[in-house]
Amino acid sequence: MQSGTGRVLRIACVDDNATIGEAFAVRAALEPTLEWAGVVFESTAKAIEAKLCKLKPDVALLDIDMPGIDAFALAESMAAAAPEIRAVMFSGHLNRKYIERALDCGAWGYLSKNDDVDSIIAGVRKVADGQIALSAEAELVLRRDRVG
Amino acid sequence: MSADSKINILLVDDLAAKLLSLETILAPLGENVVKTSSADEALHYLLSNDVAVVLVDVCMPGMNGFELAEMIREHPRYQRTAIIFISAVHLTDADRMKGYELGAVDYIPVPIIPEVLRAKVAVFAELYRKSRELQRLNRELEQRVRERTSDLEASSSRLRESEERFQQIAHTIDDAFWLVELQPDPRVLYISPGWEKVWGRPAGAEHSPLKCWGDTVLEEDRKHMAEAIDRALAPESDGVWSREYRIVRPSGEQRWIRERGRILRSETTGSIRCVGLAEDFDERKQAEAVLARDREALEQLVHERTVELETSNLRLRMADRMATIGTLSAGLGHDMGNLLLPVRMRLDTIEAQPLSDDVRREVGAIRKASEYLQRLARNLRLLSLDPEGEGEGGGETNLAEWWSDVEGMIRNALHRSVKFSGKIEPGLPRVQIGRAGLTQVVFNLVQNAGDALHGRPGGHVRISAEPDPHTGGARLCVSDNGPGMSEEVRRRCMEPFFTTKTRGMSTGLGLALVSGIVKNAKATMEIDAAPEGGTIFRINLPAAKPGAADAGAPQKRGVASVRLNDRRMVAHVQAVLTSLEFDVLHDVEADVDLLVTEAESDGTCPVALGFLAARPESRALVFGGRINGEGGGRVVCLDFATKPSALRSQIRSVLKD
Repeated sequence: MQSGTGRVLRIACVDDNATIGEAFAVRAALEPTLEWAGVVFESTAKAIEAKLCKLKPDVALLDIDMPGIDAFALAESMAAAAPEIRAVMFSGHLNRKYIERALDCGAWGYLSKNDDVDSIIAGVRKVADGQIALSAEAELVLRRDRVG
Repeated sequence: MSADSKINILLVDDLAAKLLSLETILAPLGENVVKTSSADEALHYLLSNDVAVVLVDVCMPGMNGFELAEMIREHPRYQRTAIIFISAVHLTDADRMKGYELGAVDYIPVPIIPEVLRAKVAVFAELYRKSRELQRLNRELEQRVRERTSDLEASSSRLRESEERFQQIAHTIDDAFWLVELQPDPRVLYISPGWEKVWGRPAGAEHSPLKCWGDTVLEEDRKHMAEAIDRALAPESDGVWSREYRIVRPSGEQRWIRERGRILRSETTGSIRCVGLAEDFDERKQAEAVLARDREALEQLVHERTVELETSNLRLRMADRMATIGTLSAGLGHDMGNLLLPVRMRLDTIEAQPLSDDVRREVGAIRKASEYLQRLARNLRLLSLDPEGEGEGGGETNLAEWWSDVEGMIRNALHRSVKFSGKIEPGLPRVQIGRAGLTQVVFNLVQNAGDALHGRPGGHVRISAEPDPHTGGARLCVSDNGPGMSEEVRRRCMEPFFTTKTRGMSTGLGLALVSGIVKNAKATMEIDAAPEGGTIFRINLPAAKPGAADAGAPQKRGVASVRLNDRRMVAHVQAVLTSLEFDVLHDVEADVDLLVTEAESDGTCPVALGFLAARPESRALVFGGRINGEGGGRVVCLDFATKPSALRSQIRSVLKD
C-alpha cells in the first residue's frame, strides 16, 4: 500500500445528515491533496457497502448515529470484505464504549465532529498513512478512564 | 355440796338416853345429827360420810372414846375433823391433856349445859362449813388457774410457732426488711437478717433506714432517699414509697438497691411506724442499663440506617436526574456539534476565498460565535461523561488535568455577572475520587455559591487547591463573597431537603448530594466563613492509593514493542495497547513489558522465547505461533484470523497471569 503523504486521498462520508457531507465536499476542495468521493447514505448496511466499493475511497468516515444502520458492524464487515477502504468512526459522541468498540471492530480510528476541521483532515491523513487516528478527546477518554 | 346444805354431826355414846338428849340439845342447829352407839358403828359411818363434828363419850364398852379419836385422826380425811369429848368421869387435867393430845378440840364435862354445847358445836359446824366452802373455792380457783395456765401455754406455744415461722421466713428471704418507729419514740424495731446479706456487713445501731443506712449509701443518692419517706409522710399521700439508691459494701463494691415501704399509722396508740423491703437489684439494674444502652444503640443504628437509606435514595434520585441531564446534554451537545461542523467547514471555505475586509470581519464574527457554540457543545458533552466505571468511591483524579477539562463547564454554572477565578496548579498529588463525582461536587458548590450571590454586585467565586501535607492528599476550596451562612444553616445545610432558597428554585438536594459523594470518597468537608465574608467549602481529598500511581508523578505506563509485518495489524494492536495504557514502540528490541510479534512459518518463535528468557517479568503475544508449554506461561499465541474484537481480551489475559 502506498503512503498517504503527498498523494491525493479519496475521502467519503457515510452520514444520514447530508449537510455535513455537502459542507465537507466544499471544504475538501480547499485541500489540494484531498479528493471528495462523495456522501453515502442508504437504508441498509449492505447497500452502503456496495456504494462505497463503487466509489473506492481511501478513507470512509462513518457516522455512528444512523437510522437503522449499525455503523460498527458496517466497519467490521468493510475491514473483512474491502480492507483497502479504511473506515473511521466519525461522531459527535464522546463515550468510552463507542471508542473501544470502534477499535475492536477494526475501524481505523475515532474522529470527532467537534474537532477543528484541520484536525479531522490530519486524522484522515494519518489513517491513510497506516496509523490509527483518535481525536484528542477520544484519546483523553481512553487514557483517563481506568481499565477495569 | 352447797354452802347451806346440812352438815353431819356424829354422836357416839353407848347410852341411848344420852344420845337422845344430845340430839335434842343439838336439834335447833338444824343440822343432820347422826347417832351411833359404839366406836365401831361410828367408824363405819365415818367411812362413807363426811362429818363436821364428832361428839364422843369417853367411857364406852369395847373401844373407848380416846381409842376412837386416835383411829379417826389416823385417817387422813379426818385429821382436821373436830372431835369433842363428853364425859362425866375422867375429869382430871391429865385426862383433858390426853384428850387434846389425841386431837380433841374440846372436852365437855357432864352435866352438859345445852346452850354451851349447842354454841360450841355451832362454832365447829360453821367452821366446818366455812372450811368446806374455802376448799370448794380453792378447788375452783385451782381449776381456773389450771385453765388459765393451759390457755397461756397454748397461746405461748402459738406465739412460739409464729415466731419460729417468722424466723424461718426472715432467714430464708435474701432481701432486707425492717420495721421502724417514727413516733413517739424514733427507733429501729427490727431489721431482717437479709440486710447483712445485701449490705455485706452486720447491722449496727447506726444503720437506720431513716438515716440513709449510716454511711453506706452513696452521697449523691442520700438526698432523694430522705425525700421519698418525707413524701410518703405527707397527709395527702397514700403512705407508700419506693426509692432506689446505691450502697457501698465494705469491699468497696457498689450495689443498686430498690426499696419499697409503707407508713403504718396506729389509730389507737397514735404511733407512726414504717416498714420497708430493700432488695439488691444490681444485676437487674445492670441488665436494665445494658438493655437501655442496647436500645439506644439500636435506635442510633436505625437512625443511621434511615439517614443512609435516605441519602442513598437521594443519591439514586440525584444520579437518575444527573443521568437524565447527562443524556439530554449529550444529545444537545451532539446535535449542536453536528450542526456546527458544516457551519465551520463552510466558514473555512468562505475564508479561503478573496473577501473584502468588511465581509471578512463579518465572517470573523460568525466564526467567533460558532467557536463559542462549539465550546458550549463540548461542555455539554463533558457534563454527560458517565460516572459509570468509577464505581463506589472509586477512581482517581489528577486535579490539574481534571480542572482543565471541566473549568469551562463549571464556569457556565454561574451567571455572567459573577466573577469566577479558578486556578489549580499541576503537580498536586493524585486524589482518591472519581472525576465525574468530583465534577458533580464542584458543580453543585459553584452553583450554590452563584445562587447565594444572585443579585449582589461584585460577586466572586474562587476555586483553588493545595497539597495537604498531613494526609498526602489535596485540599480543594470553593469560596464566595456572598452573605455567608448562619451557624444553624452551616450545621444543617448538608441535611437532605434543607434549603434556604424559595421553593421551586431548589430541591434542597444539592449539598446533600455533595456530602454523599464526599463521604463516599472517604473525603471530608468543612464549611467556614470565608475571609471576604462569604462561605468557604474545604474538601479534604485523600491521596490516591499507592501502587496505582505515584503521588504527584505521572502514572507509570507499560511499554510494549510491536514487531509485526502487517501495517493494519500494527495499527490495531497499537490502538488497543494505547487504550490499555501502554506506550508503544515499533520494531525495537528493548526491555519492554510486552512484546507483540509473529511466529516463523513453522509456528516456532525463537524471537519471543529469547526475549522472555532474558526478561523474567515480561510477557509476549505471538501471532501464528504454536508454542506448547514454553515461555513459562508468559506467552499467548494468537491466530492471524483473530477478530480485532478479541484482541483486547487476549492482551489482557497475557498481562493478567
